[in-house]
Amino acid sequence: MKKKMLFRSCILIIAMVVAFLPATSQKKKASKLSDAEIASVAVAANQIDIQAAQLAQQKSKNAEVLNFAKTMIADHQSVIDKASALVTKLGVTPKDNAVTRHLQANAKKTMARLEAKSGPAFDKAYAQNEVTYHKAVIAAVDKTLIPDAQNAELKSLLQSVSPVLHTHLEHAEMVAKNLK
Amino acid sequence: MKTLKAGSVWLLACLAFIASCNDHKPKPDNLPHVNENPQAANSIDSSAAPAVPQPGDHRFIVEINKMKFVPDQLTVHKGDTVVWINNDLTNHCVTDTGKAWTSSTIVPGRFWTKVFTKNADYFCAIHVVMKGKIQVE
Repeated sequence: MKKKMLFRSCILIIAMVVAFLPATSQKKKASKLSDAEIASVAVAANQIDIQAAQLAQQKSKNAEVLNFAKTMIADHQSVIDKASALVTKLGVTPKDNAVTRHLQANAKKTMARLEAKSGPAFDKAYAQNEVTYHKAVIAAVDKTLIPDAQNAELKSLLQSVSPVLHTHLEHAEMVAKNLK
Repeated sequence: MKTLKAGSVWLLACLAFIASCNDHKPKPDNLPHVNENPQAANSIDSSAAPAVPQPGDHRFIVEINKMKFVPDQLTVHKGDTVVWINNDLTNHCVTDTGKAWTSSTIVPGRFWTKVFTKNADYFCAIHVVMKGKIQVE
């Protein structure tokens, strides 16, 4: 009798584990970005920083801020060009997704906030935003985009972009510090 | 007579072989000129152009890669030449911290040379946190 109960308990546990497994793996898959989605996030993230830099070029008179903005435009455009060339080569069409939409919605708010400022107040707000933005983008690239990327060339491009972003962060921190 | 002729031919062949070997020996002057050939920088064999100073070598390579000058500190002799090769994703430049000289923009795949007679601290004026040093002995 005891043996029968033990056998039934084992069957029940195995059935529960089997029933739970597909749900877990589906959940893991759903949280991962596809290469097409990663391409979309990468292009959007670079475009957002270019737009902020273009605004800085219009509004700032500070040489350090203007030099930083010029560097942001050149470097992020270079990354967009490389990413575009790669997705064309791979035949991947960047796919809109929740991360891209979240980035764009936040950028819209930031641009509105920056547009309302002028003079030294703008310079400080722009430099501080660049620090915050690059920290967020570095975290996204290092912790999500690189681990999620399936294609080796896309992964390699993201890995080569990471030091560029770290340098931008260091540069932004220097500009922000000098503006205080 | 035949033996002498055969010997001469063999000697000439040996000399020709030695001469051809010398032609392929890496020479510092074989490096392409700055900004002349954008593709050439990528074809430079690091074994033919060592970054670490070698006896009798008067040309040193600093590679710009992953937003760093590699090596970022270099000791050379007076009159030696340093070549900066941009193997990075973005534009860079090499500028004296006192602004006494600058390479202007070095786009990816190109390079710039300078002869050194005195010590120099330099940085990339595009990415101001990138720094390097040349020590002249």
